[in-house]
Formats: sequence, structure tokens, C-alpha cells
Amino acid sequence: METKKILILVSLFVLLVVLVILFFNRGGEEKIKPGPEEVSTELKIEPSEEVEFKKITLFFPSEADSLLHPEEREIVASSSLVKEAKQTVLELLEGSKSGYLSPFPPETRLRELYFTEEGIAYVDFSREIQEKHISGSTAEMATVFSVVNSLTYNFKSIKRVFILIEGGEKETLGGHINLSRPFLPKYDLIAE
Amino acid sequence: MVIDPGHGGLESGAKGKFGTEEKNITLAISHKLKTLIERNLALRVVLTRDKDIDVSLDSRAAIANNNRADVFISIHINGSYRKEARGAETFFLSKDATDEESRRLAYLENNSAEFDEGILRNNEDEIQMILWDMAQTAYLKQSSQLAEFIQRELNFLQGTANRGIKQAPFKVLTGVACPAVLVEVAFISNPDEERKLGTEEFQQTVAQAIYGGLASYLRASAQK
Repeated sequence: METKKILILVSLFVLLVVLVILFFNRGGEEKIKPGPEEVSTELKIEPSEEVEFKKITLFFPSEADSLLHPEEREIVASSSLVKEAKQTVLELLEGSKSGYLSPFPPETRLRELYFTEEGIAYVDFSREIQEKHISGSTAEMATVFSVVNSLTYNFKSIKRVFILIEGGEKETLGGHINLSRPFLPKYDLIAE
Repeated sequence: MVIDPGHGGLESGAKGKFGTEEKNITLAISHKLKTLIERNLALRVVLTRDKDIDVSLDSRAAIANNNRADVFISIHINGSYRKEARGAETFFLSKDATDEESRRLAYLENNSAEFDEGILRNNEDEIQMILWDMAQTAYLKQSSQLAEFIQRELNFLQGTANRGIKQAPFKVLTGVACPAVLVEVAFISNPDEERKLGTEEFQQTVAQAIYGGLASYLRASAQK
């Protein structure tokens, strides 16, 4: 009887250990392969891996004047232009880290970003960028050219930027600035 | 003369902290401006909307073109992320927006001879559409002059000494086939200006300033 009890205990223990191992392995896998939406916001990088960073410049409006102000960030360097450009837009959506204003409704998400051979970047935002926008010409200009200038300034191969909402072309954000064609950068909006 | 009160209907435009809506103020100012022009300049004035209804941006340009307007003035109230932003700004269409269309048009014209009959016909339709879409291109110089005259009056009114005219790719201006400007009267996002915008006197003085700018522009262009 005693040996039977011990056997049962031992096998239960082994089962427990196996379950624990399985559990942690699964958890580990999830950390390694985050969902597509997390990819760029929280890339967990092991210090042993060779990761190169790249400095980029974002443009935000400020309370002080009606211009866009540069703010430097680091993104993970990649051989893929799409990945780098996506990180740039995601950093923009996170808002300024040095006290500038964010020209996006906080709920706005980046849905997709892609390029055409003619150097047009299509940046597809979620509906909130339009539905929750404060509207007004100046506010719309700030939103549009924060994106357009940040992309064209950092990536030479991006010549123009087309802003999409929920996968489609929209007329305006709030009745003013024309979204139905791609934007050239407007560097005269940038503060010295 | 076509005056375009910005927004309307379900599309209320920018909103202030105290609940003021852009569409109502633009309509009030537009009515006052219409009265001033009719009384003093004896010009026929058409509003793109005379009540609180939705009018698409393309229809507004179409109303101007179908009435063979000589001048198009769109009235808006500004909104900014900056609470400090204040004062009036007069815009005309930025050239970037139209350069692109000019290039497309040139391309189509140069290449259309190579197309066969069927494609050519479609192509001509497209050229018509592009022409409509870039109608404002031919009037940019006059539009900038009109903007100058109006901004000068608004600066005088509001003590915003050297604020210049601005350019932006406004959807409503692209298809207008005459000198066209968009006036951002004040910032609804600024609580002080929001309060002012709701008052009859402020609406009247703004209408008078825009009228003054328009009258100077018409005098100047008549002398040429």
C-alpha cells in the first residue's frame, strides 16, 4: 500500500512538472511572437541579439506657435522600409515625449501602411482619426502634415503621402483639408 | 458673388468648449455679409446654403460655377490643438494640390493620340473631370490678391498686425472657377474667441471687414 501511495504521489508530481513546463513554454512563445498590432510598439529586444537603432525625427505641433516642432526618437533599424515607416507613425501616435501637443485623437490606431513604386506612402488610420477629430482647418493641417512631414523627412524614397481611413479614401478629416490626393511635404510649417 | 457658409446639417464643423458650433456662426456671418454686399455694391449674392442643411463640398463649388460667380468666399471658424491660437486667417488654395493635376492632365493630353477611339472617349471624360477638379488653378493669382485685401481688413480689426495670408489644400476651393478664398474668422478652440463669436456685434464687425476687403479688391481689379 505504501509503495502504491508513493507511486501515485510521484506520478502526480511528474504530471505537475510537465504541466508547468508546458505552461511556461507556451507563455514564452507568446512573448516571442506578439500579435501584429504590438509588433512595433513594444519590441522586446534581448540584449544579446544584434539590434541596430536608427534615429528619426518626428514633427509635433506646440502650444507656443502654429508650427511643427522636431523631436528625435529611436526606432529599430530594419531592411524593410515598411517596417521602419510603420514604427515612425506608431511613435507619432504615441505623442510627444517633450511636451508638444498630439495632433491625433488618442484612440487613433494605424491599420496599415504600404508603398507604391511611384514613392507614395499610403497610411491607413482607424476611423477615430476622423470621428473624434476636433476639426478646424489649423487642427487638420497639424494632423495631416505631422504625418506627411515625418514620413517624407526621414525616408527619401517617400515622395508623397496618401492618408486613408478604414482602408478607403476619404474627402476630408472634418470638412477642410483635401484627403483625396497624396500630399507633398510642407516644410515651411516646420519651426527653425 | 457666392458666399459659402462652412459646414451645416449633420456636419457641424469645429466645436467650442461652451458648445458653440462652427456651422451656426458661419451662417450668421454669411447672412450679414450678404446684406452688406447687396446694399452697398448692388451685386447679386448667392449663398451655398441659407439654412442648417448638409451641402457637399463639391456642390458648393458647383453652385459657384453654375451661377457664374465672379468671387467665391467661404466662411469658416478655425479650430486648433493650441488653446492660445487666436485671430483671423485668410487662405487660398495651395499650388501643390493643383500641380499634381496639371501633370496628370499634360500626360493625358500628350498620350491620348496613341489610344484608340473607345479609350479616347473615356479619356476625354477623364480630362473633363480633371479640368473641373483643377478649376481653381487658373485663378490662384487673383485669389491671393483677394485674400490679401481681406486679411488686411481683418488684421486691422483684430490688431493682429502682420499676419499674412496662407495657403492650404482646401477641398472646397479646388473646383471653384473664379477667384476664391476661405476666411477663418477666429478660433472656436480659444474660449475667449468662442465667447466673442457668439455675439452679434462681433459677427457684424467681421462681416464688415470681409466686405471692406472685397470692395477694395473689386476696385483694384476694375482699375486694371
